[in-house]
Amino acid sequence: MRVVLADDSTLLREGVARLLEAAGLEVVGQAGDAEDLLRKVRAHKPDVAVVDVRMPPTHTDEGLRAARQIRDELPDVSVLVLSQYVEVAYARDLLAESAEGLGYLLKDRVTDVDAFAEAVRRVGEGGTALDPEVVSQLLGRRRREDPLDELTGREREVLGLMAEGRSNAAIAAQLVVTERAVEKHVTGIFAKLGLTAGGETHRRVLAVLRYLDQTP
Amino acid sequence: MTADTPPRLTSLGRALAALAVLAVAIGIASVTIVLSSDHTSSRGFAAALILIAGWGFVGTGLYAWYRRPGNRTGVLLTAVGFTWFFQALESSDNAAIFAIGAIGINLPFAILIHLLVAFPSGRLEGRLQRTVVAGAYFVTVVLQWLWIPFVNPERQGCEGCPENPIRIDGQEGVADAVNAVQTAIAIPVVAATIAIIYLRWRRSSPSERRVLTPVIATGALAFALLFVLLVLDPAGASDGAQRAVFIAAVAAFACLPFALLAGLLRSRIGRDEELRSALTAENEQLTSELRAKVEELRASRARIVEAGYAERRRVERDLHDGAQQRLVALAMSLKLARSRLEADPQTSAELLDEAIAELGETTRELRELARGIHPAVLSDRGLEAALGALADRSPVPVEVVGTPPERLPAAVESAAYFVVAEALTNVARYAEAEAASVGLGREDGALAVEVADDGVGGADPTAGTGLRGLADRVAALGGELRVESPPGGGTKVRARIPLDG
Repeated sequence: MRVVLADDSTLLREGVARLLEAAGLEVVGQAGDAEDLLRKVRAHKPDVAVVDVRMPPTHTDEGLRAARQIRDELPDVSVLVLSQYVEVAYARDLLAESAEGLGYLLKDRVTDVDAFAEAVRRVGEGGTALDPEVVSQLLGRRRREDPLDELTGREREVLGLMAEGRSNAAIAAQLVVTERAVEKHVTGIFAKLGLTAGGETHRRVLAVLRYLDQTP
Repeated sequence: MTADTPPRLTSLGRALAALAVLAVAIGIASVTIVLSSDHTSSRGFAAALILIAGWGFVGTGLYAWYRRPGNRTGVLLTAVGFTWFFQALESSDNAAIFAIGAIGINLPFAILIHLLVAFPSGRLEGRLQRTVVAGAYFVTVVLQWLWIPFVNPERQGCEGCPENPIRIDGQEGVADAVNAVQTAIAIPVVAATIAIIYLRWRRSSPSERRVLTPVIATGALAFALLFVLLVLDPAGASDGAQRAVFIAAVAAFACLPFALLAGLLRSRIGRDEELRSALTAENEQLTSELRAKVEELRASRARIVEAGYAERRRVERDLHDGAQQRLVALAMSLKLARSRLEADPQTSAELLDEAIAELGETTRELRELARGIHPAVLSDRGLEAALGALADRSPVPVEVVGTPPERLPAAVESAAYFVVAEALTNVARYAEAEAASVGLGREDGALAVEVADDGVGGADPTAGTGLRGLADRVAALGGELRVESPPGGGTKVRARIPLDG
């Protein structure tokens, strides 16, 4: 899998590159700002671009804007956005249309090398990776007459992992249960929340997130 | 105040300037007529008197008219000045001009009576005043016209006067009769005028007297002389005596415009003094208000500075006790792991796992610290996203309504954010609330923020430093913060933050 990296901190960029290469991914280009990133993405057409949110010149959300531009211009290139902080508002923006080939993670996650490499792979293959922090913000939001109260503890865990973009197999592995057990939980959750969604993981993510985000 | 400010280049100003030019021309013509007269005695004296009084009245009249366009005094003064020049026409050797002069000669005295009775307001008040003024005009206009056709100048004691061109011959008796009626009406009119002026002066306050005295003294003298003149004729006094009184009366009238000007100037001075004392009082009040404001500002500035220091101390403590401690512990764990790498790989692996967990905790802590200093989402996405994030993190259900869709000035957004953040923290800590709401709205160029809960109430805004600090922060932007918290009635924190800073 071919990766382009963008981060204005050379130290971090080199570190992430080394981690990804150690995990068997190929880093074909590195960029220090959004313009450079777009140039390298157009040139290399990688499977995935791993992009830091804050880059020159304004150090605000250049990475997010570049991510949107890449998705508009080159729909085949997946984008994984890394950020020092995560907010539901940014996730909402990024996932406005589709969760396919999209990731939004805290930068801290790179230290968990295996999980991080797995997330990059997942996104590169057209899947979704949403930071547990965002998911827990959405799940933790207090509601009046909360429908989530009807879920069992295990169902809440499964819902959280679904929202992060994990497949049934990945959820099963994480919770050390069978895939069939996960499928049963998913059906139960969807019934309790009145949700309908197709089999594909990234569509499921969107349905779950919309549900969590829109319920006041 | 505005009435006293001379307007520049107005149509009134131009009209008055034209009148002034006209008065100069008429004055010069009048002097020419008087000096070339062959039936006027002491021509130089008469010409000077006419010119001084005529120009004096017109000049002071136009000045008063210009400064107080709403007051009729200026118009009347100007009219007295112009009609005054009728006297000059009576010196003319031309019969027609002489006759016109004879018709108009008494008119300025009627206008003067009007002026003095109405002075200083310029308005006639009450029936007595109106009757007196009507009488004056009746005598000097209606009866004067009636008298003219029957008068024979020679019989009036004027040697060398031109013939009366419209004279109806042999009717001197009618002229005498009309003259008697004129005198009969003029005497009570003049007496009433003197009485009205005297009563006005008696009733006036000391500051009004400063304005009235010069006018009234000169006016009273002039009219007293006129009165004497009026009664001298029926009393059968000699022509010489009548003439002397007449000259004295005319001289007194000639002084009148300058007395009026003095009155006007004094009235301006009086007004200035009143204005000055009013301004002084207002000034003192403003100064004391300003002083209070400065004191308040000094106190709130001191609190803001103090709050800044307190905030820095908190950040310093959090960094030292949190992140730095963790990093020190981490360094020790790593060194320990390295020293046992070969001898005890199991323990060193455990130490490394601990170090990794410690690192994760450190970054999380640093993230929270950074958010507390300034939430990046606020500057990146604005209030709606930032308040949404605050509501998401609140352990009490929070509804956010009315967030403005557009971006507001950064200082306003920041103040509104921290008001809501502090208020929601208090809701979570003390309110024992079931739910809270955050409402925003724009009202008259300001952002209104309200955080309300259904908790126990009884919050004291002066007790904690949090709300006090917020009030200072909002006040620094020219806004205000209020807390309503009746015991058992929930708490409402309201802030009003001007958008223009």
